[in-house]
Amino acid sequence: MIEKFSFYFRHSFNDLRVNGQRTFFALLCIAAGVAAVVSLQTVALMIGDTLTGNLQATNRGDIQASLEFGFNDDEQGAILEQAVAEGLLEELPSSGFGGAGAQTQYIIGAEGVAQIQAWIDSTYPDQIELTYPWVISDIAAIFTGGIGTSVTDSTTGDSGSQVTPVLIDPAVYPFYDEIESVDGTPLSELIQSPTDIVIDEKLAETLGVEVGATLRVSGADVDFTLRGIVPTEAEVTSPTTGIFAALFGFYYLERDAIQYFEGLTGRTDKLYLKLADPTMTAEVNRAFLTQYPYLETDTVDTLRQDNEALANQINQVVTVVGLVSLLLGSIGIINTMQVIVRRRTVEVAVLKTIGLEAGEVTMLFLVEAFIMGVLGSILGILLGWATTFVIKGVAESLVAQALPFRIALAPIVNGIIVGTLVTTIFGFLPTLAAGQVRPGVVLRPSDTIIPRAGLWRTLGALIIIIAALSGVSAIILGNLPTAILVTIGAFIASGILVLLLSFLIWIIGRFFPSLGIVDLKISLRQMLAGRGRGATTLLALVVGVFSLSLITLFADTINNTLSTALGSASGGNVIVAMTNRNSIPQVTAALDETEGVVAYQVSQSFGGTLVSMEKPDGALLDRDAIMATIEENSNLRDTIAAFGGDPDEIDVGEIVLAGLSNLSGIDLGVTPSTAPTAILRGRDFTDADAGQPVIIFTESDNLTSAEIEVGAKLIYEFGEDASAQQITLEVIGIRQRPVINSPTSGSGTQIPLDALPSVIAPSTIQALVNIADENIPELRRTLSTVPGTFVLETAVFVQLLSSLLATFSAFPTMVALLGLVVGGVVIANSVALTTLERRREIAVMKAVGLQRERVLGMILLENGIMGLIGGLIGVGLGVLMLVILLSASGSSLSVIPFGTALLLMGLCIGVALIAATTTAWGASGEKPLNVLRSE
Amino acid sequence: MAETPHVLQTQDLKKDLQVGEVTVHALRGVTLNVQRGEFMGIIGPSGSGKSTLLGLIGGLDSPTSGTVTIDGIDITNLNERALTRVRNEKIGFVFQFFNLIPTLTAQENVSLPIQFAKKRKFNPDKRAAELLELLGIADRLDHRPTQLSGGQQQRVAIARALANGPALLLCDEPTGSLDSESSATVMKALRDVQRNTNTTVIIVTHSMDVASQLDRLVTLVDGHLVSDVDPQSSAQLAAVALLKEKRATGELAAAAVQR
Repeated sequence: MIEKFSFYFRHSFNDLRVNGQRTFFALLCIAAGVAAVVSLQTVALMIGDTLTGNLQATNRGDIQASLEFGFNDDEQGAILEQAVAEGLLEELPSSGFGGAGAQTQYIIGAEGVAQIQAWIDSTYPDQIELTYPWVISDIAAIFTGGIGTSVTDSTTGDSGSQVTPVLIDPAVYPFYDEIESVDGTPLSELIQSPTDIVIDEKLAETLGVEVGATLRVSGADVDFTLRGIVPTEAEVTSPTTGIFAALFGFYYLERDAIQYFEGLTGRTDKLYLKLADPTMTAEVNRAFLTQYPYLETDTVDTLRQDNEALANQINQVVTVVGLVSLLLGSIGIINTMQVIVRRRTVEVAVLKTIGLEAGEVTMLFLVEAFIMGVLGSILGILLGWATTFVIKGVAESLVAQALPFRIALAPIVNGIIVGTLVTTIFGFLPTLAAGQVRPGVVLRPSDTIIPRAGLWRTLGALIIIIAALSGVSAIILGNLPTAILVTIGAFIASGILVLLLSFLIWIIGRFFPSLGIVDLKISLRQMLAGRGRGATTLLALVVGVFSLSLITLFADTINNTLSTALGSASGGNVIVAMTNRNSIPQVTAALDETEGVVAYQVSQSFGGTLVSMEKPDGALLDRDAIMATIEENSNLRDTIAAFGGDPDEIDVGEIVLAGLSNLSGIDLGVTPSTAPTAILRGRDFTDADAGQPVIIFTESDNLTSAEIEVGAKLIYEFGEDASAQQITLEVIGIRQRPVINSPTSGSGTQIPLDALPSVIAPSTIQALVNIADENIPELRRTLSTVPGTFVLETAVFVQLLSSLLATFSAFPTMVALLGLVVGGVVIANSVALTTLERRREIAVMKAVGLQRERVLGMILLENGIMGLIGGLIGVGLGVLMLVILLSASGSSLSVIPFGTALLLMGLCIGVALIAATTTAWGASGEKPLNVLRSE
Repeated sequence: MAETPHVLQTQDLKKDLQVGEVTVHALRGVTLNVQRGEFMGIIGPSGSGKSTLLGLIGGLDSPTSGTVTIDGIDITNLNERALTRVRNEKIGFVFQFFNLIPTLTAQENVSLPIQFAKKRKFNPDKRAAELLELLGIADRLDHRPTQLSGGQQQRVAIARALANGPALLLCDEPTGSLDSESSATVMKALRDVQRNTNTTVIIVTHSMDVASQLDRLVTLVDGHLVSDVDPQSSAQLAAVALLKEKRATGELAAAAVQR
C-alpha cells in the first residue's frame, strides 16, 4: 500500500514537473481562488481587529451617552419637557428646512452638564471622570454651511467648507486613547489656549497650510493659530461615526473657544464617562439611564457585541465571495484534468495491461489532482498575502481607519484545506473517466479516444461531489440543510448556464458569417469544436464581469441620477432655504444685487390636511371616505411587502393623503426656471388664476388611488386648533409625471402663491438660484446677514453622496475585480490546454506556410470573440437589471451609464486577449518539426 | 495446478468491430493452439486482424464469439477485474512504440507490474535488476526512457513484460520502430528469453525479416487463419534468410561490384 502511494506521488510529481506551462496555469487557477479566500478573510480579520480592539478607545470611554439630534419620540415628549423645565435640556430653535411642521429638538446645555457632573460626584464620588465636546453646529448646519463649518486661510483666502468643529478639553480627550499630530505631539500639548487650533490632514491639504498659519473660522470673531495637524482618522472611531469628518475634514479647539462665537453657549449632545473600575460599567449604565431616561448610552459591552456581529457578517460575506472565486477557478481544474486524462489514454491502457485496476488508475490521477491542489493552495496563500496589501487600502477607505496588517493562521488553514479539497473534488470526475479507459487502446494509439466515466458512475460521482461541497459550505454557512440546498441549486444553475452558453457558442460558431475571412472561419470552427470547454470558461468570465458591472453600473447610475436631479437641469445650483416669510424680500434683494445670479425662483410650500372632497359629480366624501377609497385602490401594501416590510404596519390612507397635502405655492408672474411638465387633463394656470383657489396636481399613484380628478373640489385645513382655517381648492388640471423627481422642483401639487390667506404660514420657503460657481462665496457672505437663511450648494450634496458612494462601493468593486481576474486566469488555462491539444494542428499550419503572427492571431481572434460574448452577457445582464429597476420606479433610462458599460465590455475583451496571449505566444512559436515528431 | 501443454488455445474466435455505421468482421473464426515455449509469429497484410487477434488473446478486448484459454483459464467471460489479474500474472506485452512510463527509470518501469501484483512473487527491485541484466542493459538501471536508445527502450519493455514471470509474451511489432541493428538485438533478446525461461513468445509482425527468425508462423488474411507453417519450410522465407546471411557477410556487395 505504501509502495503504491509512493508510486502515485512520485509519478504525479514527475508528471507535473515535466508538463511546465500546463501545470503552471492549472496551479494558477487554484491559486487565484485561494488568494481570493486568503486575502478577503485576512482583511475581514483586520477589520474585525479594528472593530473589536480597544473598544474603550473606540467608545471614547466606558460609557458614551448621547442625545441625538433629529426626531424624538412623541412618547418621550413629557419627559423631555420635564428635563427642559429642570434645566437639564435646552430646546433648540428649528433649523434648516423645518418651519411650522418641524419637530422640537433638544440639547444638553451647560447647566445640564453641570447637573450631570453633580449627580456623578454625589453618586459615584471619585469613581467617574466625565468629558464632553461643545457643539456649535449640527449635521444639518455642517451641510448648509452653518457657524464654524468653514475654515479659511487668512493669508491666501483658501477655504474648506462642510468642516466638523470639535471643541474639547484637550487635557483628557479622548479617554483611553491619545490623539497625536502627524509628527507625534499629543493634542494636550498642541492646544494650550482657546485661540489654538488643530486641523486634520484632509483640511490641511485643502487649505494648503502648515503649522503656524493663521486661520479664520466662520462665525468666530478672532483668528486662530494652527498648532498641529492630526491624521484624518483621529475622529473616526467606527465605520458609522465620523464620516463627515473623514470626508470633509475637522478641527479641534479648546472648549473655552466657544466664547468667540457670538450668540453661542456651551451645549453638547455627547458625554463620555471613564470609570475607575470598568467592571462597574453595567451598574453605572443602569443607574445613569434610570436617572436620565431621555439619553441613550453605548457601553463597551454593547459595542463589542455590535462590532463582533458586524465583523462576523463581514467575515461570512467575504468568505462566500472568496469561495465563489475558488469555485470559478476550479473550472480550470476540471478542464486541466480532462486534458491530462485525454493525453494519457495510452499510458493508462499500458498501466492496465501490466495489472493496474480501474480504481488504482483513478487513484493515480486523483493523487495528481490532490498534489495540484496543495501546490496551488500554497501559491495562492503567497498571492493572497500580496493581494491583501492591495485590498487593505480599499478596505481602509471603507472603514475610514487604518487597518493593522497581520498574518493570521485561520485564512491560511482555510485556504489550504478548501483549495485542496475543492481541487480534488472537482478533479474526481475526470479521474473516474481515466479508470474506464479500455486497455485495448494500447493497440490503436493513433485513435482519438475520449475517456468517459459512464452514466451511473458520473451520477454517483456528482452525488459525492455535491455531498463533499455541501460539507465545505456547511462549515461556512453553519447550516447543513441550507448548504445542501445552496450547493444543489448552484450545480443546477451552473449546469443550465453551461448548457445555454454551449448552445450560444454553437449558434455563433455555426451561423456567424465569416465574411470570407479565412482566419475568422478557422477561429469559428475551432470555437465550435471546443464549445464544451468554451462554455465552462465563458461561465467563469461572465460571472466575473457581471458582478463587476453590477456594482460599477449601479454606482454610476446613482451618481447620474443625483447629478441630473440636482444639477443644472433642475434650473439651479444653489438652494437658499428660509425659515420665515419675512426673509423673502431681503433674500430676493440680495439675489438681485449679487453678481453672477442668472435666475432664481422663490417657492413656498404649505402643509395642509385634506379633510373632504366634492367629486365632479357632486358626491361628497369626508376624510374617512377618501381614505377608504385609497385603501381600495392603492397597491402600496403590496410594494412594501415586496420589499420585505410588514404591510399591516402602515396606514396607507394617511401616507397617501400626506403626499397630496404638501402644496407648492408658485408666483404666476414669474417665469419658472424649470419648465413644468405638460398638462394631461384640464388646463394650466393662466394669469387670471393669480390669487384664486385653484390647484393643479401632477399625475401620480397617490392621485389615482384617491380618485382625484379635474373638477373636484378639495377642502384643506391649515393650522391647528382654534387658528385652523379651511380652504376649498378646485382642481383645474393634472400634469404629466416628470422625468426625474427632483427635490429642487418642488411639490408636484401647485397652487397660486396668493391662493391662501397670508395668515397661513408656509412650512418651507426656498429659492432655487442659478448662479456662477465663483460667485457662490459672495452670495453666502451676503446672505449670512439675513437671519434664518441657509445656503446649500447642490454640487456639495452631489459630491457628498458621490464620495459616500465611492467609499462604500470601492471595496465591493475590488472584490468583484478579483472575480474577473480569476475568470482571466481560467481563460489563460483554457488556452494553454487548447494549444497543447492543437499542437499538431498548429505545427501543420506553420508547415504549410502560416507565419507565427497569423497563427497567434487566430487564437486571439477566437478568444477575443469569447471575451466579447462574455462581456455582452455579463454587462448586458447588469444593464438589463438597471432597466428593469428604473422602469419599475418610473425613472428615465437616460441615467444608465452606457459609457461605463462599454468600458466594462472592453475590459472583458482585454482580459480575454491578455490571458490568451500569455499562453498562446509560446505555443505559436514552436518549431513544426519538433512538434510533429513528438506528437 | 499442473502446467498444461497448451499455453494458449482459441476456439472459433470471432470479433466484429463497429466503424461508424459499418460492421467490420475483423476475425472470422480463428482456432489456434500454442504450445508452451513456442516462438511463433502472426503475419498478414494490413487490416488482416493481427492486432485484433493479439488484443483478444491478451485479454485486452473481448470476442464477439468463441473462446480464449490462457494457461488453462478461460478468459472469455471474465470481468475486467479478473482480466486485469490475468494480464498481470500470465501475460506480458511488448509494443511497437515501447510505451514506457517516461517519468520512471528503467528499473522502476520494470518493477511496476510486480508492485501491482495481488500476490507478489518477487522482490520488485531485485527482479528488475535481474531482468535488465539478462537483457544486457544492467548499466542503464537508473536511466529514464528519454536517455535510452530505441533498442534499449524495447529491451526495458521486454523486461517489464517478463517481470511477473508470465507464461505468454505477446509482442506487437516489437521491431517496427527500430533500425536493423536494434531490431536484431531485440530479436536476439526475445529468442534468449524464450530459450532461457521457456516463455511462449508470440510476435505480430509484417516484417519478413522478423518472420524468418521464428519457429512457427500463422498467417491471417481478412480475419481468417489461412496458413500455419514452419518458416523454415517456406521458400520465400528461406530466400529472405539467405539474403540476410549474404548481406551480413558482404557477399552481396561484392557480387554487385563484379557485375
